[in-house]
Amino acid sequence: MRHSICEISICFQADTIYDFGQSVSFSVSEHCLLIYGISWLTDHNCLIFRKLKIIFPRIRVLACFLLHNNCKKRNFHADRNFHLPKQTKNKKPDHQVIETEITILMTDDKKLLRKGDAAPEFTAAGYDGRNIALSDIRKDGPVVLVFIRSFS
Amino acid sequence: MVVIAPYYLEKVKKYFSGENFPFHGVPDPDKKIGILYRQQRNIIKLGLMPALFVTDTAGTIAYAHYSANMADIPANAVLLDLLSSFGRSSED
Repeated sequence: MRHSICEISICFQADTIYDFGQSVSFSVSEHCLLIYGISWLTDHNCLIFRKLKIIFPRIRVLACFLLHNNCKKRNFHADRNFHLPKQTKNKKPDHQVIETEITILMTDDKKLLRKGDAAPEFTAAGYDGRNIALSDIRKDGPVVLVFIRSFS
Repeated sequence: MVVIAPYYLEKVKKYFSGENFPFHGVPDPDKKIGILYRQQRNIIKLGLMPALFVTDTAGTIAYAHYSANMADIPANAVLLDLLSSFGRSSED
């Protein structure tokens, strides 16, 4: 059975953690799907990732981070096709201190807001302490909402 | 105009203070509003992607733009034209 993005969202709300046994599990958030592992990215784990791709055909891997907790060094590998990342020069890593995290970004365009959709209402405190409610300020005219970028 | 900044209050305050900007600034450190508006996160592009919306007085989105990259910002002329059209339609 194939799961849809919608079903993934439901999984997130239920805070589901999928456990594939051995060393890999994953959870789903609003924007990404995180895969946790406590061992090196092995052939076995890559097989699981390929299976994930079959289960969730509409997601794609954007990045793979290998976190070396012992040296606080973060190696980056693009891993779009679930291939094994290149081994680092250190060769065999210490299994006790390595955590593998793969981030998969959802790419479901249907979830994006479009012209004609209702603008989600929000109330938030401005930098000057004043409360800003979209429903209030749009009474004065059209509202431009600018979401600025962040490199975090 | 409302600028939603995915930063803590102190940073946004520092940016806005003394500038007298004619628009609202809203710190959104938890990205709650960003999530509400589906602001996209891209690991390869190193963070939250810009997005821009224009809503009419009825609360309907008249324009939505999700940036494909960090520099993909709608031109001022596009927005000014759109906002002018609101003025024209209200005069009609």
